[in-house]
Amino acid sequence: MKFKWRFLIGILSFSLTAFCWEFLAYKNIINLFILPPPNKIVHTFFELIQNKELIHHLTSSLFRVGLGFFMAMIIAIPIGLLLSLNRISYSILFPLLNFLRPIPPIAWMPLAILWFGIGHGPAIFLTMIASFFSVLLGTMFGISEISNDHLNVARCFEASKWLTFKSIIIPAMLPQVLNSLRIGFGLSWMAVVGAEMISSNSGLGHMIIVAQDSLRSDIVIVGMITIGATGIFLDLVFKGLTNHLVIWKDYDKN
Amino acid sequence: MIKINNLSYKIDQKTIFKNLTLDVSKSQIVTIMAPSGRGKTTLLKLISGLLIPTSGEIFHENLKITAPSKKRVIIFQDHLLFPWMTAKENIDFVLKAQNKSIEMSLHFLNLVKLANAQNLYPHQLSGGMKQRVGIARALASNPEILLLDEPFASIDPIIRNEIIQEIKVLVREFNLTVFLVTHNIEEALYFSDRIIVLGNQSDDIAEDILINMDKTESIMALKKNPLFSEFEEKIYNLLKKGLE
Repeated sequence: MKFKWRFLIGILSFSLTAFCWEFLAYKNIINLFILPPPNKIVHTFFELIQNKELIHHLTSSLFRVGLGFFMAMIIAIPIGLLLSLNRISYSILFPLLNFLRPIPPIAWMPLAILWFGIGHGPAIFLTMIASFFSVLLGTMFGISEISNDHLNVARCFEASKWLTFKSIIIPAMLPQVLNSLRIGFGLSWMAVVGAEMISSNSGLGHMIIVAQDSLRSDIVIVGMITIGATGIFLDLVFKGLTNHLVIWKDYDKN
Repeated sequence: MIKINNLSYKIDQKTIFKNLTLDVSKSQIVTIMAPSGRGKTTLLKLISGLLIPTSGEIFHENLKITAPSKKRVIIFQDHLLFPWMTAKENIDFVLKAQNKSIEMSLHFLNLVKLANAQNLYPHQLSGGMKQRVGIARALASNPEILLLDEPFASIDPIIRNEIIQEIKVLVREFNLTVFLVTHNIEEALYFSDRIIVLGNQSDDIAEDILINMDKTESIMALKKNPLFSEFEEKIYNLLKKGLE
């Protein structure tokens, strides 16, 4: 199906849901206190934009997720390269990392609060943990996917190790690494909201939990919609970046 | 130029070559023919140094081959251009590997008449263009030996004849020794000075045939030469026997 049609159907689906929701609220079939109607949510949304509260919480969340994700990236990619290119490092480190991998990010929260206190620290740490393993495995998988034939071509031309690394290994692993960054960023974005609900005094997670305490389900829903919309926007940015950097990806079999 | 002495090669207990001995002199164009799976590509990889013999030796200009070298470049059927590099960058890579100026890459693209495709990526090139870039990339390393592993197999037949003729001119111009692997008898007869048909498991070489025809003509003209059909029939029968 063409993009234009898929887009129109998506818009239609959203509009229909909002219309039904508004209609049920208008007829008092649903409890307005538990589930406020769309017009109330839109009103609250503009109110939060006007008093800059939403921007403040959104930028806090983006700062944390950006920093945590950046840290995950600069740690996980070199470790992934090391584990893939050096058997001894793999034997020593991989069992430990593989043991830590299934632990959900939120389970690190108590330790993160003990280590970093309340504020940015625990949330940044959690976002880092959330994307670390995805980026690590993506890097390792990217290297394992490098064609031996391409490496043989480099050997035939007597390319140095550095030239082979720079010109073959890095670009060949790039599609997998970018995919893992995209997935990792999504996981970080989900983790930051959870972390802010527990240990922060700003951010969208914090805004939602405060709204819940003051029984403002409209603010809770505005927070949720902002999280979803920002997540989709950032995912599109990553997708665009991947398409821009890996123009050969759909043709890599030549 | 290339001397193979009592070479044997086994993969997973399967013997590919038992006791292969072969001498190829400089600037000779040798085609290796055999049924699929007989070890033609393996032989090219052994000569290139990508594979090491189980026993026996291969010498290149009296030096034992123990590793790949820029002097022996292998070109595969699927050309193996780096898909993330443009045509020019693929050649730049080779020049950089040899600490040469990348300004020369256009000269090599010119040799294969592809200077205007320098900024195109492999997926934007046709099969024939890709193979031409592969040849230009190989020439950029200033090789002495070209190892061609079914390089024309995936190219349209009409373009194929054109490319074969072009490559043949380049090979003569650069004074290269060539090992070609192909299933196409006509292609082999036009291209080669010598055709080696590998035998079945009991003997490594079934027949070593010198192709003593005047090959200044085009492929189409050469087909009219009575010797052509004689060689064609002989090779066909040898290949058929190899399948039995």
